[in-house]
Amino acid sequence: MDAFTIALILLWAVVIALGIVVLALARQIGILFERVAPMGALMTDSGPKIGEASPKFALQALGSGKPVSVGAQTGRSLLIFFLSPTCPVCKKLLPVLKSAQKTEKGFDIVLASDGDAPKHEAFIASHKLDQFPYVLSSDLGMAYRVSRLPYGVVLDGEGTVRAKGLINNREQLESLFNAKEMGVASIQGFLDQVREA
Amino acid sequence: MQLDPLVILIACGVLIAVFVRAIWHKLSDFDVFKASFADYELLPQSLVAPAALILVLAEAAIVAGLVVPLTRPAAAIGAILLLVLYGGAIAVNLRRGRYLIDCGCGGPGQGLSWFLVARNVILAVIAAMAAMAPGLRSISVSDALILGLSVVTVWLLILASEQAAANDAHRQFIRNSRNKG
Repeated sequence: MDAFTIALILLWAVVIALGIVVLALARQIGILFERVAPMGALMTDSGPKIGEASPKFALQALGSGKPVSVGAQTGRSLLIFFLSPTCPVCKKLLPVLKSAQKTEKGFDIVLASDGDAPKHEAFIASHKLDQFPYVLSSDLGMAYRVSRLPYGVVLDGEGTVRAKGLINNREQLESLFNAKEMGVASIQGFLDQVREA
Repeated sequence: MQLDPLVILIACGVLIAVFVRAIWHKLSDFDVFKASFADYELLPQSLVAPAALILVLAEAAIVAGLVVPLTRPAAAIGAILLLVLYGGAIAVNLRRGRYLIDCGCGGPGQGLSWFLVARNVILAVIAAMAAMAPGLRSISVSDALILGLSVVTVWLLILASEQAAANDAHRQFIRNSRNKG
C-alpha cells in the first residue's frame, strides 16, 4: 500500500470516530436536559394560567345527568380530559386513563368534549367509558382555549389550575398527575425549585 | 449534467436511509402519524387518512425506485417533490405560529422548527444530486468502500444535528418557562 492509501484509511477512521463522538456528546446533553427539566405536557400560553382560579362551570354528565362541577371547592383534585371520538391519540390514551382512575385515588377524572350527544353516546358505549362522567360543553373548551386534542387540565381541591397541556403519550399524561403530587404547580414551579436549591 | 457515479451513489444511499427510517416511523405508529398529519391543518379531516397512506406508499416507491439504476432519476425527482412538500407544510405552520404541534417525525415527539425546513432543503439538494446522470466510470472496490463509509458518516451527522436541534428546543423550553415562572 502506498502512503496515500494508508492516509485515506486513517482519515476515514478518524472521521467516523469523530462522528460517533459528536453524536454521543449531543445525546448526553439531551439526557442532561431531560434530567434537569422533563418536557412534560406541552404548555400553551392562552387560557387560565397555572395558579389562577379555574372558571366555574356547573355541567351535567351525559347519560346519567349527574351534576359535574368544574372549579368548585370540592376538596378533591380534578383532571379534565378533553377528547373527541374522532381523535386517534385520545383513544390510545383511554386505557391509561382507566388505569389512572384506579391508581390515582385523590383524583376525579372527567371527560369533556362538545358536539352532538348521539355520536358521543355511541363513543361511550363502544369504548366502555361509563365509569367516567362525560360532559359536552363547548364553553368549557373555549374557557381553557383548547385548540388541540387530547388536552388535559388539572385542578386542585380549591379549584385552582395546577397543570395543563397537550397530551401526546402516557408520559405526558402522567406528568400532569405528577405536577400535582410533587407539590409543584407545574414544570415552571419545578424549575424554580431547582433554581432555588 | 453529469456527476461522478460515486457521488450519485452516496446521495442515493443517504436518501434510502432517510426514507426507510421515515416509513418505519410512520408505520410503527400509523394512528399517531395520522393525528400529527391532521394537526398540520392542510387537508379536510376526511382526506387525512387516505393522504397519509399515499405518503407512505410514495416513500416506499421512492426507496424501491432509488435501488434500481434505471428508475433512479425519476425516484430522486419524486424525493425532491416530497421533501419540498414536507418542508412547505412545516413552513406554512411555522408562519401560522403553530410551532407547538408535533412534527410527526416519529420518536418521542418534536415541535416544528426552521431547522426542519433547512434539513429538508439540504436533503432536497442531495436528492437533486441523485437525479443527475452518472459520468462514465466503472465503480471499483475502493469506490464501494468509500460509498459505505460516506453513507455511515452522513447518517451520523444527520443523527447528531437532529439531536442538537432537539437539545436546542429543550433549552428554549427551559428559558421560556423561567421567564414566565
